[in-house]
Amino acid sequence: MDWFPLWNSLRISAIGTIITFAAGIAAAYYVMRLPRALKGICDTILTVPMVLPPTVVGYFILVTVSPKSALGTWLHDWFGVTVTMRWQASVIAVVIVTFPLMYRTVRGAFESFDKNLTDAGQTLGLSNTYIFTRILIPNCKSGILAGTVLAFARGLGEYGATSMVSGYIAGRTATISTSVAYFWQINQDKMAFYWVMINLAISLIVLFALNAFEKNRRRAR
Amino acid sequence: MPLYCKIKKYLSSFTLDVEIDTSDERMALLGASGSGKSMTLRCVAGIEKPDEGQILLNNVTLFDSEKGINLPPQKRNVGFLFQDYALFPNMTALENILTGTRKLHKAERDSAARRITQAFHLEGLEARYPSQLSGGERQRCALARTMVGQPEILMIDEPFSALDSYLRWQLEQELDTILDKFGKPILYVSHNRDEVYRLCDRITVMNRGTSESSREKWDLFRNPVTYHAALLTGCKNITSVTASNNHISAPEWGLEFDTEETTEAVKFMGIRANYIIPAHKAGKNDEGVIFDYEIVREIEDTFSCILMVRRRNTDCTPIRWELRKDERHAMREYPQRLCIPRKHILLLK
Repeated sequence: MDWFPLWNSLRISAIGTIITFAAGIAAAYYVMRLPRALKGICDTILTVPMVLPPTVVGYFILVTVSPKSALGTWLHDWFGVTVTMRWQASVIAVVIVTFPLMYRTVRGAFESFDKNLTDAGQTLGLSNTYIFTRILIPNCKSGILAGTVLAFARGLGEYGATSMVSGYIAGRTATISTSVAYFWQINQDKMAFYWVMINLAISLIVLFALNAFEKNRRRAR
Repeated sequence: MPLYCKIKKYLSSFTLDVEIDTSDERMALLGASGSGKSMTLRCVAGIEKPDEGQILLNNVTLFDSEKGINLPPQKRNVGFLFQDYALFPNMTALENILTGTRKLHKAERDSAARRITQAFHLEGLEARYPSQLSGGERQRCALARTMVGQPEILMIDEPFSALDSYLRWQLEQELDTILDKFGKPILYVSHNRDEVYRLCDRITVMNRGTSESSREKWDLFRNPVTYHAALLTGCKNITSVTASNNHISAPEWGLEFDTEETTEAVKFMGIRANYIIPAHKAGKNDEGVIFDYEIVREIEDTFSCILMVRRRNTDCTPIRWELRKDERHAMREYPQRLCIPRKHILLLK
């Protein structure tokens, strides 16, 4: 059995989650401090990928970076790089699809955070960087972890946008979820079943981890 | 004049319009909840930005809307003790205190923290997290964290509002002792008149965002002058009056009397519930408003009786009268006549 799809899925989801992690925290932090009207607009835009069908996300990615697009042409002409139909394109898809999960969870944690603590930090003369890294982040740790786990799990199961931007190329872009669909289509039911079981096992592990964090969070309060 | 603060801030429910001028004493802001006391402190600390005005601390301008000055809270050297102390839950007591030393020179931080840990009796608790400290220890830790940076003024925001009365008393005594040692001006916010009276020297009354001029505490309680000040200093009986030619009439209570004071601005009168006396106890020289009463309701309190009384055979608004329980028993042998001593009647604007 070729284990490439498992490795590829983990790789795509891990890299995607790292990017989402940083972007989600940053976005949550800045949106939280915006004036109310602007906050609503930003919030809507940043959350949209969560409710859009992944194929629509895929469509937008293709429109932006495919060799036919302006950016795609530019990348190809100047760097000799084609983004689509490669595993790297899946990372873009994963980042966009998982971003709202991270952003929403972290913003929830930031908003339930006692604002008096940041105010106290300021009156004590602590810099905003210190307050962010040493007070806000540590006290929102469980929310941030939960968001990260959710993002990673969602990234692993990404299918719609991934199959549009990277397709299924055995040994190059195949992921667990695209393998399931591929093997089912070519009537290799047994292989499809194996990948289904692997996917199920990973999902269960992730959800157990998530529950453990939740329990910790409740105990901490 | 350590702190001078004259600011306006337009809020959704009211406009904050405050003028505070502290001396080296302990100044209190006394007001009902939602009257803008905390918002005032937050403006002085720089956590909130006023729309107009000026804030000066020891002749340094912290905020000036006309000159466009608005120092960030980090540069204001203002100590702020928050309502729930706002200790950082992810740091130990010592780490919390060390966060307060950032304004000091690097070499002094550790020794300053160690000294204040000793002074505030926190030895042995350095490694504990705030959740592992008792209420008193938490207060000392928060005070140590605030004071280790040597702020020029200490602002305290309703420190005891979430505590039961026993713990509240203990912490209040402890705070009082610490503040005595502090020797810097203090701005204390509370809605509790007794607490403010015990802890502070001067009082500024606040009502819906507007501050009245500050007064010595005993002067304020003896003669509150305004309706809101009377209410906040715990006057239970206040009624509107019409005043003309040194004659005052309170139609809701069915009472009238003459006075020598000027009565032009008088719109209300008040009498504290425990200053009302039975008529037979009034001395011959005691001037007062005397009337026959009937009891509308009687409420037994822990150490006193509360009688809701009104002028006999009328529909007047009842007046609250508090008396000791033994006095209540003795009352049954005397005619039902009351005296509101003239010297205790508060004429209010």
